Amino acid sequence: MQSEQTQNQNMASANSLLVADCGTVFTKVSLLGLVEGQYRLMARGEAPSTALPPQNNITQGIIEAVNVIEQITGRQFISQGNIIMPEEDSGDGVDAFIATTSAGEPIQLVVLGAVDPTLEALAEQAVSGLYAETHAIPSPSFVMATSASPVSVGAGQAQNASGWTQERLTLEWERQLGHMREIQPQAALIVGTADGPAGPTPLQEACQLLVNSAKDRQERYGSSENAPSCAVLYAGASQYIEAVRRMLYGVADVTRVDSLVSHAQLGSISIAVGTLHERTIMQHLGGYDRLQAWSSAEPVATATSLSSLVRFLAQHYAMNVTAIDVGGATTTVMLAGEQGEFVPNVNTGIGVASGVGSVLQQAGPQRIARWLPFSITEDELRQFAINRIANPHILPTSTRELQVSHAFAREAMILTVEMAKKSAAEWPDADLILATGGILAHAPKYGQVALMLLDALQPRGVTSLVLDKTMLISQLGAVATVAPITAVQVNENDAVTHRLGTCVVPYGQLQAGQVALTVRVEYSNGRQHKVDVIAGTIEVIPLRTNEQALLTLFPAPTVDVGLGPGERARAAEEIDGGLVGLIIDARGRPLALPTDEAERQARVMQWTQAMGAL
Amino acid sequence: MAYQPGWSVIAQTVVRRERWPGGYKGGSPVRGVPLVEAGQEVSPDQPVLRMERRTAVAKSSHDEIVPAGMYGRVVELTSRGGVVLEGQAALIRGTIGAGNQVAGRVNIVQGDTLQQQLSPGAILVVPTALTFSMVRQALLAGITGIVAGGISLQDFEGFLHTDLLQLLSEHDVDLAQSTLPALTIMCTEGLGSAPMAPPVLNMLRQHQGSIVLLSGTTSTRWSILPELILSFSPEEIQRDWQPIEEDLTLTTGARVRVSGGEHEGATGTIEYLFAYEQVFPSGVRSRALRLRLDTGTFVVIPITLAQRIG
Repeated sequence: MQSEQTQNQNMASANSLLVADCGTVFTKVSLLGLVEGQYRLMARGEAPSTALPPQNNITQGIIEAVNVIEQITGRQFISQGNIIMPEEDSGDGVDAFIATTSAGEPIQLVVLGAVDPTLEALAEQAVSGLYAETHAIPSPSFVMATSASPVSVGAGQAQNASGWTQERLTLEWERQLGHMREIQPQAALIVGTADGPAGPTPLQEACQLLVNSAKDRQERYGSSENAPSCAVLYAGASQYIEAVRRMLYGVADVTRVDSLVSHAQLGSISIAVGTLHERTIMQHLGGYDRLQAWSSAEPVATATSLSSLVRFLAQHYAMNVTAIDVGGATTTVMLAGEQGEFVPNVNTGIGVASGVGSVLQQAGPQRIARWLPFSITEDELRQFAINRIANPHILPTSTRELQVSHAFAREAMILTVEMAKKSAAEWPDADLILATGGILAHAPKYGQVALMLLDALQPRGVTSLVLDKTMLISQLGAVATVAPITAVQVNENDAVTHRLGTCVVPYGQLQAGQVALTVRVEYSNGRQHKVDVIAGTIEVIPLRTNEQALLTLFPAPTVDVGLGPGERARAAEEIDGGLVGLIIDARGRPLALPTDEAERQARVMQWTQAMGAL
Repeated sequence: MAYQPGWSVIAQTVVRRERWPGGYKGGSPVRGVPLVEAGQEVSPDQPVLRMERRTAVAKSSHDEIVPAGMYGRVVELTSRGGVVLEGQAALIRGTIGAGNQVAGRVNIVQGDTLQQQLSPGAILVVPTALTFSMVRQALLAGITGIVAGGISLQDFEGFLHTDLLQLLSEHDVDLAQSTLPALTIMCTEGLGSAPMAPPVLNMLRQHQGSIVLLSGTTSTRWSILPELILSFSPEEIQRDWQPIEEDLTLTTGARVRVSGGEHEGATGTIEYLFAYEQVFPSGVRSRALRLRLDTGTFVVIPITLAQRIG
């Protein structure tokens, strides 16, 4: 990385920036520059990511993507394998380079000690905005003390108060060691107080498990094994920190964080795990040193960058913003409220390229097939998934392939939102849905994107749908840390300009075949339009980009549009049009698809046609 | 230009591989005990390590002696007991497979049946697609490994007794392979009924009867592909022997394989790279190239579907 002084100078006078996002499957690079006094997106390039073998060098994909920008602009940005910095009089080079990355495996975090369901949920929540997977392994004594029904064992075997024999205890230790072997964690979080049902013993056992696991690794791979050891975050009873350090001396570095007892400690634990992710995953990516050397600021995790932007937007526009990013290996949803609420969920392993297998496993073939206007066998879905995993870069060239890809994308989003809702105390209706990620940004029709979002996120009331076709929003948070004006201007000028439209979703008891909602639209030019929307259907009322209209909604007596059943709603301000139009989704919430196969296919086709998504 | 996974066939290269037949036997962990030293030259049939059960106090009768499987030099002994060999070889990368690294003699199957061609310990080359009955037959006959064009998903999963999606994403690859039947499989073309591509088959024919090293392990999590190493003896290596540089860029004249879509599995030569995005029947826009297939027909495909093979 450049020196701080040089970096500040570059930032102060940055006319041009290259911003790279290295995903698991694709690397995207954008050129930002000054156009008539405003920062704009000037060009973007995309290339397959190269963090994995055979290339094993994250910067190679960046160079390829920059080469695309060079072809588009006729300017040169790479010389002898490096970024030309600062920008030269000829226009070659840039003043700054910023990188985000989601490449690499998620950090595997084991939660050890007196892990009850509450602490397990808190630990999951603490890392929900990070590329991390948690695995709870409660200590044997804690499992024993909290076992609801002691198992009866044969006569003659010594039992403790919980009915556990020494043999069962030994088996539990072996099982836990096997679990550690399987997970190969890069980090451990020790939690629990000393006054639980098993006292402080679980904390001691957590250390013992880490010691045993280290021995096991050593036996398996030998002492010269270069694999990173397990870093330990201690969030247990504070009085035992020194004892824990002593037990783990020579086995693992122990970092003390706030004792985890409530939501109040989530922030510090999240920061600590985020730092470990940078240290153990990001910094071990092939070519990271070079990436760091190019960068005007430390590369950051893409999800961290996205969260900064989403929170900024929610506060800046005083609205509830839901951002969804569907990637090849990870799907992320973030809900930021105007009151500062923030619910992130980075669903690692769930995506539409290398993550497609997990979508199929977790959602099941029926759930994926339900979005298709044709029949498909489980074998075809499995074959599709395996082919996509083996060739994550491929693009769907036929309509059938595209529809199957979009079905997987819907389920990736649904799984991610389901998971996020589990940890959220409340899930307010979104005023704005901001969508990004390759499968959405590259969808051939805007109607396809809008329908995917409606099917998967199932918003209620009145919501605006915006597509980030530039795939820049995930990087603008990182840009904002060094060039805030650039980030704000590019966001408004380019990133969130693909407004799909306003969507009205009535809910409550919609009677099939009956009018659910009457919509009266008064266009700016005085023209009026009245539409009766039948329950179970979608209507798109023409209202193009840069058009505005006043909207009055007359719901049926049992139907709600946000003001109570049957209550008429008239917008105080004109609503904006979009690339799709004004969408009235009267299919009901939760969305239920017909059980009859022929009827389901017909209905899916009907909705697709209504949205102009065919 | 775009970078893609490596060439599927490299006629001359220097390979450096750890000889490691898997860290588990019958579900129990095993460790390797090297029988060679760093710097030592080895031949394919030469024992290079012994696999011992970890719990055994002393050498047990179940220990397995592991031959090198390739000509080369010992460059390192790994901490888990593996032996890293380096040698000059031809390399064939498969698209999907399963099973640990094994060594055996190449036996190219003639015709559509395996009858009377099943010598225990051999690595069978099946130019067509595999069927469930063929792999079962091979397993029962003590065949070590099979290299074939393709196999249907149903037959493959039926033989492996496992969910392939799960297998490909397993965290502990070594452990996952240990649960599979003792027959290593590599498909050069992928799942389905595609026969082996002629260039691959031609290369294998040149090595009929030679001892080769085959690994079927495939992991999408760790980017591991199956591979077959056909090493050259010192006599076969000419004085001016040079490794072929594996150029991954897609340029006019490069040989590529189509990795998806309507023409999946077809091979051809790049005729033209479009400067601007093209629109495909799905409506998707993508940078694209025009390919002259080996059949003589021309097709336009997204650049990301072209995998350079030579």
